[in-house]
Amino acid sequence: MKLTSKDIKFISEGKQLKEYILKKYTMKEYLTLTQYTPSTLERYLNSRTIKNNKRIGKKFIRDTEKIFKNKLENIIHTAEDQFNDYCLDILNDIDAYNDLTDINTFMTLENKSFSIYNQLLIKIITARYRYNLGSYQEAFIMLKNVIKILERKKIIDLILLTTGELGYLHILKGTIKSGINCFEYVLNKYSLDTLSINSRTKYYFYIFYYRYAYCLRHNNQLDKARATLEKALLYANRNQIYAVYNNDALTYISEHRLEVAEQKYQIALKSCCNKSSRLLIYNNLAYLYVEKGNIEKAQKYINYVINNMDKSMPLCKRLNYFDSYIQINNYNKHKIKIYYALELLRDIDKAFGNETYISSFLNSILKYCTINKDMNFLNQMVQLLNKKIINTNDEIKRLRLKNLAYNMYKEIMKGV
Amino acid sequence: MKKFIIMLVMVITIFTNLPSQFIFNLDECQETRVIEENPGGN
Repeated sequence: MKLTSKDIKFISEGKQLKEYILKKYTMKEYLTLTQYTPSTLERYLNSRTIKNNKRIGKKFIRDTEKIFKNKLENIIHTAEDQFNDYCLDILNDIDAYNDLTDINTFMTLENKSFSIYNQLLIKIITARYRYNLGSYQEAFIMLKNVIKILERKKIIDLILLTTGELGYLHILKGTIKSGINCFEYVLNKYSLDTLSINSRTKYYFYIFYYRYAYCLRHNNQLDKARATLEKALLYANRNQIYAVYNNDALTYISEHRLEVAEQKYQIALKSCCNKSSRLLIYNNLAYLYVEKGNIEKAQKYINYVINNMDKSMPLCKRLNYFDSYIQINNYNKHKIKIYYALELLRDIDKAFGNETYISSFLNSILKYCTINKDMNFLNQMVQLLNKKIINTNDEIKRLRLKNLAYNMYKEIMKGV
Repeated sequence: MKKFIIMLVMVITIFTNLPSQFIFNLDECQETRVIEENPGGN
């Protein structure tokens, strides 16, 4: 879902107009003040009244004023509500966003006249955006400040989401224990059972428990992680169920109980609602079969993933799948369609924020080229990377690309 | 910055002139594929 500047203007304009109406200006004065055309005003007000008032130029009478105010209140309320949904959609997809125009729009919104709830949501999104750009400290501070405000204003439901986000940043940074502390602070301080459940709070609860369980699993508290995943499952919507079972399977993989893990993956597969989630589970099943020593089955799954992935999926995931594909097929040029990698390379700058995936992918290709003595493909790859560096206008992205090229150079030099 | 650009030119030059029989130290290449854990849960 795309957030348009029209949607944003709608809310701030509506609020502005409400202020003007309270001041009892004439229509002419409204139009001068707002610099609207009468047709723009029609979006908010009754068109017939606008015509009448424009012609007569008199002040709005009390009843009309009341109708306008109510209508505006509804519009603002609905628009704020819709805006809330937009924010959650963006937060949901922020890692997969290739086009950052929408998110950049957010940077300019913080001082607009949104409700405090939506203003804080914008801050949460901004924090994640900053983190993805490498401003780790700033992102953590922003989220901690949001939590302070929420605590002061006693907006408990949003504390769940913000803590989920804070925990997520700890996951990304690898500071799992600090992440667990954040979750447990909230669990100890608030009685979450008293919160009313609606579609929005359900999402907040899901994010909170899911990410808490993730931290617990990485801290080797596997039983507690499973119990927490059960809670996440209570709040998961049909698109999220597979993710819970996937993590459940991973708790068993940690104990090397591969049969149970396989069963959990099968449940996850049944819960998948889209191709992207199905391919994720197939990738993990391929990994599981490698562990079990059934390479043929592992290859079948990973080949299916590569032949079915498309551009709508996040690039870092596709890079990882390709990495698995090369390795599970044992760098065998007869089994690998290496030219698929060129398409991924063309978009490589869209995976920034996930450099580990990029360098793993590049190294796997490097290894493939070396084993198969495929200098032709290595040349194609380098030329593409070089072309990317030359054509990238964004200075930060260009530096990151150069860094990657330099790391590849180091790898090559090790072997020369 | 200048140093970096020189280094980059070197990278490209080396790549484009690599001898076809160059040996890459495979032992130092680690397996990098990972399970998709989906930490965000989305």
